Amino acid sequence: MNDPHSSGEPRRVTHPGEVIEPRVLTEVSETGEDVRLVLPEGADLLNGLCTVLNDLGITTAGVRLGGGSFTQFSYYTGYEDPTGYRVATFSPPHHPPCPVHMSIAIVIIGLDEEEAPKSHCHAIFLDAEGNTLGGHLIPGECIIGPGGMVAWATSSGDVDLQAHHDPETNFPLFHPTKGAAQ
Amino acid sequence: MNDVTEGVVVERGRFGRILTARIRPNVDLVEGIEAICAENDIACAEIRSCVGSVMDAVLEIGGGENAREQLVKGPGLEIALTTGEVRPDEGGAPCARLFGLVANWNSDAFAGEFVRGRNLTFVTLELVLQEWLPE
Repeated sequence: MNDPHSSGEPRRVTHPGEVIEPRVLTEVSETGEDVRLVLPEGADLLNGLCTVLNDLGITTAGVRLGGGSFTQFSYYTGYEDPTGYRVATFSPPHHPPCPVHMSIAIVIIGLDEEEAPKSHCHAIFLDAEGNTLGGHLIPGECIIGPGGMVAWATSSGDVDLQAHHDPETNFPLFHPTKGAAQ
Repeated sequence: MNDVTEGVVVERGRFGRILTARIRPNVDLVEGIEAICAENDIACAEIRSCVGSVMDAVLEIGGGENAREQLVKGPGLEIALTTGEVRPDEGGAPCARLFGLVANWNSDAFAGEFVRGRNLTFVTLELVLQEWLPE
């Protein structure tokens, strides 16, 4: 990674793999579907979203949510990769004191390499001590508290985001693919 | 109290096509989203969901004379767009305004408007965007 800020130009990252073109990948669907969901107390946020949407035949979606609380909660931040395999990796899980209150979360739902549901969620939230924190929520480890949680989802129609190994970054990353989903 | 209807702009319309995208590293996210719209002949759009990371972030906070830029140093900040729209500029080209969240490796959280040309993707940006068709 080159030197920060001194030139006024934004810093650029150098990943371990070769730069891959094109830099922007897009697929278009003529139609989609919007869905309002209420996930109940006791449900895991991300696995719950994946399950409910999958049951509705929606395999890829963008989801917006806020409000509500969590009785169990953990998240990752970025972290230097000591192996050098990637420019960064995930930290060990953080466990803020609960109840955690959600401010805003954005979720992308797609498919993993084996076509099982996979989520990617970034959020800002308040811990039980009132600290405002942000990070990457961990599936299976964010349990919704009393009152449940409302989420709005927009399906991507006949386009899916499917994860596969990205040789430029060495991460398994979502890539849009046409001809799946609803 | 001011008349709240004075100066209000109302635009009726409907949503159209849905674009699902990934942006690779070192692309400015404002310009990247504008490029996606231009390639697909989309003049107006709303960001439905967007998650990813940027190398560093430059966010505008405040407004008018009080506006200032806030630099959030990475490398590697988690981001999410909470609000964003694309509208045509005076020449008809798609022009994006994006607002959202940033978190650094210490879990410190920031919010604001992403400043054009100053927020380069770090690992990836995943995006669901929907066309808006004004009547």
